Amino acid sequence: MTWLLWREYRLNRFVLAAGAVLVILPYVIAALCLPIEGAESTELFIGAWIWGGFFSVLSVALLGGNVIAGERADRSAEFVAYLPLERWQMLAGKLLFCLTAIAVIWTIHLLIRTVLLSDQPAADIRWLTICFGVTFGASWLCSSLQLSPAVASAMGFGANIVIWGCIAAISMTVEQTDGYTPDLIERHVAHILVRYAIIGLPFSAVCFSLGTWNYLRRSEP
Amino acid sequence: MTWLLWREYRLNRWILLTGAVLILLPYAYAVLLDVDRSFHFFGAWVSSTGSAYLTVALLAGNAIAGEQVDRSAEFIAYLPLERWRLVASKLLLFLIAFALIWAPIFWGATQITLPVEMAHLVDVRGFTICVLFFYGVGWLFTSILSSPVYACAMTLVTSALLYGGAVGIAVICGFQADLLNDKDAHETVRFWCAMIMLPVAIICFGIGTWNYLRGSQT
Repeated sequence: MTWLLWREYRLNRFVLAAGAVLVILPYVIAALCLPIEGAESTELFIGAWIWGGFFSVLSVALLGGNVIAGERADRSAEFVAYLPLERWQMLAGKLLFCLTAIAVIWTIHLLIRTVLLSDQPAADIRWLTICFGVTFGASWLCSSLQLSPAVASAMGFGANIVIWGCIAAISMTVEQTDGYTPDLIERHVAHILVRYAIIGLPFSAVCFSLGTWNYLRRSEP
Repeated sequence: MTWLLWREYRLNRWILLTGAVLILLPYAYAVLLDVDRSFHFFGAWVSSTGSAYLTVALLAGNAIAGEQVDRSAEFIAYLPLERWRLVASKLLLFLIAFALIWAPIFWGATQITLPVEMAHLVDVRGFTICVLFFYGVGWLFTSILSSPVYACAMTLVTSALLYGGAVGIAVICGFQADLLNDKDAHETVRFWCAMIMLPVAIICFGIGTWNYLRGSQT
C-alpha cells in the first residue's frame, strides 16, 4: 500500500503544490494588507476565507478529476494493469490519498476559523464541507468516465456550482420578500444550507458510487 | 484548416460546454429572478467573469497537453502537417472562444447601473487583459507539462502569485488606497497590472510557441 500511496503522490504532486499555494495565499495577502491604514483585520480575513474556500473547492475538483483520469493521461494505468494488483487495492490507495489531502485542506480552514473568525457567521465550515463532498463526488465520477483530467475537473467543479446555484435561485424565488433584514437573510442562508445538504450529499454519494463501480468493472485501464 | 479546427473543437468541447454553462448561469438567474441592475446584477457579472477566467485557464491548459492525453498527438505527428498549422488552429479556436466569452461579459457590463463612484469596478478592459494573461501563461505550461490539469493548476497558481506579489510590493512601497471607492487609485492599479500582465502573457506565449514548434514533444 505504501508504494501505491507514493505513486498517487507522484501523480498528483503538482495539484497538491498548486492547491497548497492557492489555499494559503489569500491568508498571506490578508496578513500583508494588515499594515494598510484603515484596514479591518476581520474584513480582510473574511475575504481571505471566501477566496481560500473557493480555491480549496477548485483544488478538490482538480484532485478528484486527476485521480483516475490522470493515470490514463500519463500512461501509468497500462503499466499498473499488468501488475499483480487487485482493483480494490488501487481504489483504496486513491481514496486514502484523496481523503487525506482533503482532510488537510479542511483542517487548515477549521483552524483559521477557530483562531481568527470564531465569531463570524460568514465563515461557516459546513458550507465548505458540503462543497468538498459534492465537488469530489462529481469529479470522481467524471474522472472514472473521462480520458482527460482537465475535462473531469471542469465538470466536477461545474456540477457543484450548478447544484448550489439552482438551490439558491429556487430558494430565493420561493421565499421572495419585499424587504431584507439581517435576521431574514440569516434564515434564508440557513434554508439554502439545509437544502444544499439534502440534495448535495446524496448526489455526491451517488456520483462516488457510480464512479467507483465504473472504475472497478472497467476491463481496460 | 477546417478539420484541424474541428479536431480542436472535439478536444475541448466539454470544457467549452462547462464554461458556457458557468458563464451564462449567473445571468440566467439574474434575468429570471429579475434582480436589481445594481449590486445583484454586479454579483452575477463578477461570478460570470470568474467562470470565464477558469474556462480560459482550462482551455489553455488543455490546448497542447490535451492532445497528448488522448494520444491524438502521436497520430497527428505522422501526418504531413506543418507545426505552424497546428498552432494556428489552436489559436483560432481560442480567438473564437474568446469572442464568445467576451460577448456575454460585455453585455453584462452594459446592463449594470452601479453608483457613479463605483462604476469603475465594471472593467471590461481589465477583464480582457486578464484573459490574455491567463491564456499566455496557460499556453506556456501546456507546452511544457504532460497533463492539462497540471498546466491549469500552474496557471492559476502563477496568476495568484503575481497578484500576491503585486499586493506585497504595493504594501512595501506604502501604497494605500480604497480601491472600491477611489477611481484614480483604481486606474493606477489597472495601468500597472496591464504593464506587467501583457508583457508576461506575450513572453509566456512566445516561449510556449517556440517550445511547441521546435518539436521537443510528440
